[in-house]
Amino acid sequence: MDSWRSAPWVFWAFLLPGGLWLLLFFLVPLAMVWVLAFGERAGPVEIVITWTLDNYRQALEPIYLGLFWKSFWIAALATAICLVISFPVALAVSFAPARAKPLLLMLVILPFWTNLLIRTYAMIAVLRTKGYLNFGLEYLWTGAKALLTPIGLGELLGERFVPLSLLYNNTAVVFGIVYVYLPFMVLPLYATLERLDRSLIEASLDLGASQARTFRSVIVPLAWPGIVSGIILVFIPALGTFLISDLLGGPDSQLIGNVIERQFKAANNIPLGSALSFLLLYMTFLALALRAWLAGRRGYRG
Amino acid sequence: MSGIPIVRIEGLTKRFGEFAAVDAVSLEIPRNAFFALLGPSGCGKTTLLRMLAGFEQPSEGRILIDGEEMAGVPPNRRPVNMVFQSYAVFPHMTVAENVAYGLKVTGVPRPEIERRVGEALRMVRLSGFERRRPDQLSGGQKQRVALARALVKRPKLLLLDEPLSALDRKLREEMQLELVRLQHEVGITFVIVTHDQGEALSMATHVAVMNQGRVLQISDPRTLYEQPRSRFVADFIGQVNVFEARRVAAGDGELRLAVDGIGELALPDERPPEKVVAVAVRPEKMRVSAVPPEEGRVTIAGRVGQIAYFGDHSRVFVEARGRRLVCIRHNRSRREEPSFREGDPCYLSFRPEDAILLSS
Repeated sequence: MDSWRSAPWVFWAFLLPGGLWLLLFFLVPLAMVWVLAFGERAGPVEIVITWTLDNYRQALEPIYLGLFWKSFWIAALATAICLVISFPVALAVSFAPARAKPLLLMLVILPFWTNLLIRTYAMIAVLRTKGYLNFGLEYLWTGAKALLTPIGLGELLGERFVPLSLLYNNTAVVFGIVYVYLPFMVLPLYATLERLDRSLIEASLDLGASQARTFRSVIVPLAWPGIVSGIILVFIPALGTFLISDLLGGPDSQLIGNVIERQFKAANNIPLGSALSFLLLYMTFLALALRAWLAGRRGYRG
Repeated sequence: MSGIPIVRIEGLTKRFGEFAAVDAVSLEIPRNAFFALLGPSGCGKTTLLRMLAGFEQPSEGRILIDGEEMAGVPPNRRPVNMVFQSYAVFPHMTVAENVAYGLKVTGVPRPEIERRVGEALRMVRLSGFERRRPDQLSGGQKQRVALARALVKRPKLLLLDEPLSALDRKLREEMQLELVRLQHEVGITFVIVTHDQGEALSMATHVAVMNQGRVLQISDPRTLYEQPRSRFVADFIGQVNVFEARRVAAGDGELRLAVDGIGELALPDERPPEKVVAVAVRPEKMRVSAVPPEEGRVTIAGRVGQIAYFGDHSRVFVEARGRRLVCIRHNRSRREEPSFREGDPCYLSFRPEDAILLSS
């Protein structure tokens, strides 16, 4: 068989469809947005490119910087929660019997089969004041009250059940991001843990390390590439999310994604939206650079 | 304490579902032994080793290490260390960090760690490699790191799971000698799992041959080779010519057997097993000659079937009475004499006392 080296046109032929796709639908629109960030509104729909820096100046005003910062910590918090939840899940799946693995992985991916919008609306049904979660809590409260009242401890639980306000606040937004992006954390973690040589874990135990020590000194350092991939895969989309904060968040839960969306739609300020988009993109680049730095420093180190 | 064996295994069974990987094994490993578990793949030897290390729980029976019951003792609390088949050297640590790991996790003070790590690396001849990373090491060097990492813990028992199988032949022979030297030096009992009979015979002081979850024979290497009790052991350890046989008469220090393909055979009756089902003769105990051999040898006439040349020796396959027998000729001289060609008539012979009596 001919190697692609001796027939380079084969290589280019295979590269062409994907390359064209990326060029037409990714790079060209991206360049358009980059240019629009230097434009001025000249009417309801016209935009004149004047190479002004006003849009960036406006985007760097404290109100927007505050939103960037808030989006950053909400995304960071959600990513951290994802990591803490996903690690045991990924570990359990990678240690599960070979026959159970495809099923368990399917359960992790299953929510993807439903539209994001529908899933997020379902979260509303769960979290709202008269939602399933509060309903379940009330049920438990009633039971506990019935048990405690005869022994005189009924007052501890208060007069009536007070439903928790779980929806339309920042907690709900973090909850929603964790719920939606969890598989993006589980899958890369699973991929690295699956490839981890079991005898390394056994060697650590054999040498006298406890399970916890083995986890800290062997499993986590060796799973580091998967941890970094998972963080990137969750953090970046979480940073720009607008649907989840729109549906689950309260009036003070606006994230930078919502503002950008509004500039492109309701506010009809496409130049400002473009400038904000690119600021977000630069933040993402910064995160990726941080990742490269971390991978170089921590990769395969204890 | 030195009176009791370092390992005592009683009625040990390990079942995976219906299948018994280890089936009612009882054995003792003496202190300071170099103990080999030898058998074909799937015979249960690795499962047995992993039960000693604590990675598998016995279905039945018990293990005592230095007189202490091991049931319920997790791997990290056992006075046992293991060298893994894949070496399992931590790829994210340097050589020194790898060797120090087992001491660090058990809270050995830092100066002592440094001293013992240096000592262990010297012992496996890896001084100067402290700061290397595993991906900069050859297979043989990784193996030495794994050895140093286990020995630095000063275990009562060092377990080695097919430690040499990934090395090329020259290096393997070198490491065999090295392991024996190390075992003498540290005075720790070694238990090695191998499917290579040469490895077991050349290194071990005791060899246990396993098949289908059972231990068939435990002996020193010479006894195992020269006095195997069963057909399986005789055949697994080296090559062998087997003749079906049955006892005709015994007495007067003589055992008379009717042997298929040979006829009646009178053997010195030193150690008659209860029953004799076959007689076996090792190829190097056979002699092939162009003329009938002198009196006193058991002789089988045949024709040369095939000659395989190995340099230091040749294997001569002889067709005799419808069967194929094998004989080893050591090429002691640069001139082969007499020279045989395929199809030449020849005589195979052996001394009666070189016949092995097999009881199963």
